[in-house]
This record gives sequence, structure tokens and C-alpha cells, in this order.
Amino acid sequence: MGKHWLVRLWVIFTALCLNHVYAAESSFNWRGFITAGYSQTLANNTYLSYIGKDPNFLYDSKLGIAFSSNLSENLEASAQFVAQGSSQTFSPDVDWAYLSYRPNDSIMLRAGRLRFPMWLIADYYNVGYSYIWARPPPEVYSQNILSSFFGVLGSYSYALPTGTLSLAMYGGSSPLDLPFQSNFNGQISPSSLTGSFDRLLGATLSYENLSLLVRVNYARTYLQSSLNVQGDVLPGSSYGAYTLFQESFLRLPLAGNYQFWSMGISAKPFKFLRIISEYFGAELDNTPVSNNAYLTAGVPIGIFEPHFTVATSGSTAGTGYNRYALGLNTSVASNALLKVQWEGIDVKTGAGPLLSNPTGLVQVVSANINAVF
Amino acid sequence: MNNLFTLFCVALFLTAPAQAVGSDQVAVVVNVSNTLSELKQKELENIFMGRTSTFPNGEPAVPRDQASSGVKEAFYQTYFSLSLDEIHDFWIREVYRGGRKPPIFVDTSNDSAMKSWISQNRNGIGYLGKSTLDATVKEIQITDVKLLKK
Repeated sequence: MGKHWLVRLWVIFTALCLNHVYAAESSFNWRGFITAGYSQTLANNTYLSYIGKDPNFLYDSKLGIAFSSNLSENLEASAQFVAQGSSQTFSPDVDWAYLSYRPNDSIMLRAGRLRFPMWLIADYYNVGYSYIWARPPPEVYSQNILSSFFGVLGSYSYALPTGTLSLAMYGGSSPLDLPFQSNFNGQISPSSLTGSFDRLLGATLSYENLSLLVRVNYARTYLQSSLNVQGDVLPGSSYGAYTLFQESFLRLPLAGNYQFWSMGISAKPFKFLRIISEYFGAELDNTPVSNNAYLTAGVPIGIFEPHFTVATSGSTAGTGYNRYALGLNTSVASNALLKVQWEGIDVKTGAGPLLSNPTGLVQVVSANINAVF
Repeated sequence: MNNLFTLFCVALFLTAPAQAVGSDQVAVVVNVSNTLSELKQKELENIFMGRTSTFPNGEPAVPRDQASSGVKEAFYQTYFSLSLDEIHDFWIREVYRGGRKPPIFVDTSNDSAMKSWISQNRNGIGYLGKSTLDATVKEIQITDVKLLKK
């Protein structure tokens, strides 16, 4: 046993998995993905609820399995299960599960538990191998208070001379159960925000070809929630909720019309340059609650891809921050990617939702290995 | 340290480009019973990227891929301006978002397997080295390709 054993196991694993992902031809298929992550802050801060000054091997780590079965020529059943370290327990959860019907090449209908299709990588948010960052930019992607819903989605694609234009419309509802922590008489107290997103309606318009993807998204829903909390909410104990409600759950109504919109672009104008950018905004009862955006540039050089991200997050409550990230990815097999990343977070005003105890430039380092099989 | 070096060498080996084949040495082939004689580049792209399941004449189109070879590298570079890594990443994203389905691989990654499969499937479309062309399959011309070359 020892490192030799680990290296051999990795090589065998890689060889067995090679090409499995999309080589099979059968009525029943499965595929999987794994991320083994490390992260820590370089000072006494808590970042994204869990990452602190001690090495954290849980927050970014996850294991997922997806199954699909062809029920007929046009009908398919699919489900994906994910066990995440951020849950502290690795208990598997249903990421999505739906029936998909494609009567022809242009039309697709889905029904079941669906990913909320608001962002560029919403559909494969948990598959670390498929995106450039050590973790998706929290300014946009940690708004995952609504990450999936129960309902239906229909999309229509139209072929243009230079690419494909698609329109997707969806509707449904989603339960809300968001745990966080509060400080009650000096004791950490578990708390939660529960309720539902009802009457969810949304649309996504996208254009794509082999080097460009542009998406514009809009959705609205009626939020009804109740708060179970004692004492004060701990900064950084639940980033998604903090961002949504701007640091104080009680400052905004717990029921109302909630609107989201986003725009995203992913382009590869040259072989040596990749650009990804997204903007996300939200409004509750016509009151803007957040504006967030990021821009990433990557430079593919053989098996390496250095990248740089600049991000900003602002709120009507007056808090906000800028975030800078430098990363380097390298392919360690045809189905595995090693990523290292440094981040600097510059909090402008207030504690902000991202961090506890921000002082000056807070630094976070991360490394993870991602594989698909 | 030695282990890290071994791992690095394995990674380099696995990601090394396949033996290069000239772009003018790749033939797009269909079954000999197929009435098509040419396809536009966009039509070929739509078939191989899973956007359509039919030829322009309405007949079903069933593409087949080679798992990894110099011919495959030349095919994707010539007609789609994509490296093998880029096409691999494209399909990873499609598969994991429950999107389009990639072409199935022929059993073994060589021209003989591709020829054998195409010759037995009247709706098949694939590619192979021009030097291995014979009467068991039919080559079709791909038009409007020059715009892609960078």
C-alpha cells in the first residue's frame, strides 16, 4: 500500500472509464462524476458558509451518478443523484429526475424534477469537470436557493445558417427548505427558512454554434416562506439566503413576487482564448435585491488552461464586494482535470453575505480533481 | 516525487495527439445505396453534433465516430475546426446536461471497422482515410468548408 498503489489505481480507473461517458449504445445508460476538493481561507474568515482557515476537504467534494433509459424511440427517463460534502453527510439527493419527449429534432418536452435553467451551466452545475473554475462563481451560482423545480419545460430549436436559436419555456413550483445558523444567547442555533416558490414561470432564449453560446433568461415566481430563527443570523452561515434577502431575513417580506433575470455568454473567438461572462439580477415585489456579474478569461495551452476572473456583487442594502480569482487547470487524463485556484475578496461595505469577519483582502485557496466516468 | 512524475507521464501519454493525418486525406462516406453526392459543411455539422437525425433529403442519418485516431483528428479539424479535446469537452457538457446524443463509436478505432459498418447500414455516415477507400462505401463531397479554416 502507499502512493504506488494509489497511482496504479488511478491509471486503471482512468483506463476503465476512458470513453465510457458517450460510447455506449443501449436502452439503459449510466454515467458518473466525482470531485475531490480542498479549500481554505488564509485568515480567520468563513467563506461560503463552510470554508474556514483550516483545510476543508468537504465543501467542494461530491459524487454523482446519472441514469437514463429509452422507454421508446422518442421517450426517455433520466435521473441524477448527487452526494455532496457541503451537506456534511454525503447523503445522496435527487438532482433532477424527469421524462423527456422528443417528437422531432426541433421540439423537446420535459416533465418532472428539473434544474432551474437560469444560468449558463445550470444543467451541469455539479459536474466539476465541465467548467473552468474550481467552483462556479458564487455571485451568480450560489443563488441556488432555487436550483430545481417540479414542473414542465418545452423547448423549440430553429436552425439558422450560422447556428441554432432555441426558446425554452417552463413552469412549476418548488419547495423551499434552507437551513442556516443563528447566534442565540451566545450559542449557535440551527434555524431554517421554509416555504415554497409557487406559480414559477420562465423563459430562456439562446443562440449557439461551435464557438459561441449566448443566453438570456427571465423567470418569476410567488414566494411564500416562514422563518424559524432565534437570535441573530450568523454572517456567512447560508450564503444563498443571505444574498437573496440582503443580510436580514426580516427586512423584506417573506411573501411576494420574486423575479430573476440573467444574461450569459460563453465564447471562444480564438483557439487560445475563452471568454465567459454572466450577469444576474433579482427583485422582490419590485424592490431590487441584488446585482451580480463576473467575467472570466481562459487561455488554453495544450493540456493547461490558466484563467482569470473578476466578479462583483452589490445589493440595495449597501453591501457588496469585488472578487478576483487566478486559476490553473491541467488535464491529467482524458476524463480528469486538476484545478488550483487563488481568490482575493475585497469587501466594499458591511460584512456582506460571502464572508464572516472580512478585513482587507480576504484570500482563499482551492484545489480539486474532477473526473467523469 | 517519482509517483508524481509517473502520473505526469501517463497524463501526457493519454492526452498526446494521435498520429497526424492531412486534412485532404479524409473522406466522408455513406452507404453505396445513398443517393446523396454532397453535403454542405453546416449539414454535416448538424448531423455529427446531434442537431438533426436526417439527411437533407429527409432520409434518416445515423453518424458513426472513431474513438480516437489520426483520421478522427483530421476530420474534426477540417470540417468543424475543433481539436479532439474540444469535441470531447463539447460532448461531456451535452451528455451531462441531458442534451443531444453523440455519435456512437464503431467497434474498433480504424477505417476497416468504419467501412464495414457503413457498408451494412444504408443510413450510416462516417469518415475514413482516403487511402483506404474502396467500392464498399461511397464518398460524398463536403462543400462550403473553406470558411471554417483559420
